[in-house]
Amino acid sequence: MGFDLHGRAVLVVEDDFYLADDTRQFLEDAGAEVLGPVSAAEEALSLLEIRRPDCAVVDVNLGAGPSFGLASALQARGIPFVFLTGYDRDIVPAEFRDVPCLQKPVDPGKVVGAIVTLESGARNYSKK
Amino acid sequence: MDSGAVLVLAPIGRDGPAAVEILARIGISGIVCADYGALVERLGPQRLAVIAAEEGLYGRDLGDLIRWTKDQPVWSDLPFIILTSHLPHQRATAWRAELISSLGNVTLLERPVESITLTSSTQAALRARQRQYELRGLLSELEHGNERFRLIVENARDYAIILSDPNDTIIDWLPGAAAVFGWSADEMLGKPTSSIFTPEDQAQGVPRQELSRARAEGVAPNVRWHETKDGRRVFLDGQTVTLRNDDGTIRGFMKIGKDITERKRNEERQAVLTAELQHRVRNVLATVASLVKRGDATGTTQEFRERLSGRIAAMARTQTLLTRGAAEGVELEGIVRDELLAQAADPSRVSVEGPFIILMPKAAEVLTLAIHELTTNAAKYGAIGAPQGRVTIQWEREPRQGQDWLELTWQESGVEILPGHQMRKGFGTELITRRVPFELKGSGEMQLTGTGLLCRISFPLQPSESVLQTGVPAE
Repeated sequence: MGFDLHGRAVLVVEDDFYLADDTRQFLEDAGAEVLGPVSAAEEALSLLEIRRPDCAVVDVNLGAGPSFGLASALQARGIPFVFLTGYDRDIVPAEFRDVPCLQKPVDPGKVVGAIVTLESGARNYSKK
Repeated sequence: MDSGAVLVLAPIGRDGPAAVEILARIGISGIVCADYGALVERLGPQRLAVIAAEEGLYGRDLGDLIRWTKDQPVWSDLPFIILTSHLPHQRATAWRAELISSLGNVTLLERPVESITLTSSTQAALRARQRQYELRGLLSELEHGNERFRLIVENARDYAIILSDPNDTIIDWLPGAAAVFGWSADEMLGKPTSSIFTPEDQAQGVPRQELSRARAEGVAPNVRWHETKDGRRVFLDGQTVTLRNDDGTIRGFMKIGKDITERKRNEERQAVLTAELQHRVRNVLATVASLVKRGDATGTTQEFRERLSGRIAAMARTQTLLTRGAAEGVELEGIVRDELLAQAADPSRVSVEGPFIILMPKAAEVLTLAIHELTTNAAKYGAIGAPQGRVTIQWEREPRQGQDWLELTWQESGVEILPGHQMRKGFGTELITRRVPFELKGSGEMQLTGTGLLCRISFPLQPSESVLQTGVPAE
């Protein structure tokens, strides 16, 4: 597919099993190491305690309505991430304006594409 | 016709008839009163004036006349034209002074009176009286207007109307304001208008900004949440208007706002429901897409199509139950029986038992599909299809680490399993052994025993999934 994520660790937080599993498959096919997938913010936070991912995919709704606690935690740690959401983009608070937002139903291939973009952006940024 | 007449009191001499004649010449009727008593009797607001000779009044108790004069309505000041008599000099001066001051609108004409003098004085009096009637008309219009205004303002209970002085201290707290905010006029008069703003808006200086805009532009919109006496929030849609004197100085402010709290809350609720609906629809489509993608591609297209439509039908059954009410759950036994019914399982070979449990949407969706997979599988390869087969489905509520778990067992028997036969690792197996643990934070196992399939599914019930806890009030 051309995407190369070798040596990159990607945290996947998504409570829909199929989407989570497909995303994992695509990421692994692109060479990434997948942390998770996990289906709850608490699980993701405990994972963060152990391992620092290079980037993350975060579902806005993990069961109990939109929540952004995990997003804030990632932002505080300087870990780039993309949002997945079944809602409209405007549900995302202003402080995450620059976070790429993929709307469900989403093709897992697109998730991987967004991660690659995120990664190259981060790399270019760190070169400066 | 004595309605618009002038009363004439001239008991002696020719003055009476002469006055009536003069009045007739200018088109006014005169009523001659025989004495003081007759005059008092005929007084009334419709009288245009009184022409009286002094001798008709002098020496009488004028109490009734004076009282009548004083009690006239605010617009009325009946003109009196008094023709002098030859009274004893010393007493006459004092008596006349007294008369003039108590009757008020008095013109004294010294006799003998020229006809032209009486005519002009009478005309002047009639003209003044005419102006009084005009004033009466204006006053009554004004009163009607006021009454209408008062009725509107006092009955506008959904409108809070508040008047304040140039320093924005409340000087009028109308019933609508009392109904919307809960404070009485007594509690609010003298307080600053800013007291109805929320503490946040007060801290941010919103009341002050609103006033300076009203001062600069004449009117400032006031569309925001306010706080009532009991701390509730009310949403007012209104404005603050600057009231000015003729010279342009500020007389005060009028704040008027309609209470649209209910509409506002409905809009907010609507927005949440719309977002939720959008979310659900997208999730359903995402799940359907996964069903298509993950369906076993072995076998014919016809078989694939049947499996897929069976799965979508099972999902549809859950959705129908779930969308009956917001956040409504589904009863577990109903899910199990519906799926068995859809596969036309023979009831005598199926046993279903377990306590009454309501599953929340996520668990209901996953478990419906799990039961669907188990049933279709059993109908095709297992206990429902086998001549001697039996299925026992039972569940319990088990406390584990302070939380209730659902433990469900699907046990088939009477199925001939050939030694070495492997279980198919299809969509159903993945659903039970991987999706259940992932999405429901529980576990799912499947194994083939000598007599058929054994499947165990367990997961923690969300607090609202246990009917035992429905009595606990929600926060």
